[in-house]
Amino acid sequence: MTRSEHDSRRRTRLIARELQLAISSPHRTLYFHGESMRPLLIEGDEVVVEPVEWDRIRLGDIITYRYLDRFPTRRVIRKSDSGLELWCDNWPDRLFTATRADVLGRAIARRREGVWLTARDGEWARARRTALRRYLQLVVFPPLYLRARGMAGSVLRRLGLRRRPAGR
Amino acid sequence: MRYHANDARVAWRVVEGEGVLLHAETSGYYGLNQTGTLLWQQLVARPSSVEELGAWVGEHLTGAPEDPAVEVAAFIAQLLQYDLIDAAVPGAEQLAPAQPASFLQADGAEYEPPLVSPFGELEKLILSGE
Repeated sequence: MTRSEHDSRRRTRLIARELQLAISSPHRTLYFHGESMRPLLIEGDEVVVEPVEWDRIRLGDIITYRYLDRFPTRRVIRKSDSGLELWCDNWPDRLFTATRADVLGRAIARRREGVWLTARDGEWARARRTALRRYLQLVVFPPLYLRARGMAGSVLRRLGLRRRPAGR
Repeated sequence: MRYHANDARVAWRVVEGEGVLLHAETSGYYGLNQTGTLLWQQLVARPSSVEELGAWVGEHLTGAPEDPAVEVAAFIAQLLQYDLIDAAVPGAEQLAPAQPASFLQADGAEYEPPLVSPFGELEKLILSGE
């Protein structure tokens, strides 16, 4: 097989895998791998992903996107005109990005040990709220808090109410 | 006899002029060359017979053989073998959907014998957070 034939086969396979994602349903589920989205999604969960229009993606949605030949599935924590910022519920220290063109779908249900949980259920909504709150606490608020503390310290020093830190 | 694409069980997409088909139940996936893709689109758009497809090839593609129906018939036999098309119910052409704007455009395309290539079966798709 020539290199171009090999590349062509690889591309065909990738497109076919994206088609698998596009026809996902409760009868044609996809597997979730890894612990990064624990506790909502864990290794071996069966997941249903539906196609989603860009305008309907909301903060907190769990999005599957194209990355090389893989299909990462992560939570949206910021949305701009060009793409998404995502994180994993169980890896709050790492942020990921996905371009608009690479978004393939939104997770809407999971089955674990035969029991379905859908995006309409309270547990799913609670996981969304918890994740967004943690994002605010861990990523958004700390820089704001540090900046506010720095500004307050500067004002106090100018007023002579606080000494300059030693060594500066 | 007319045939139509088995769109209840087959998902498909055209990328760079060539079609990729996925059979939802067998997870078999297939590649179509350009002429195969154009014929597939005809089968999606409306139920068609081998003769109608052969006439369409003669009308729209350059360099088509004098009687393209022979190669078209072989192509149809392959699609039937892989359960990618069905025999159409008489009268079904009235129910055919409008042709999507994303269809590959045929006019001026060079004819090549239509071909469907089986690539095997896909395992269950794995989503990863890692």
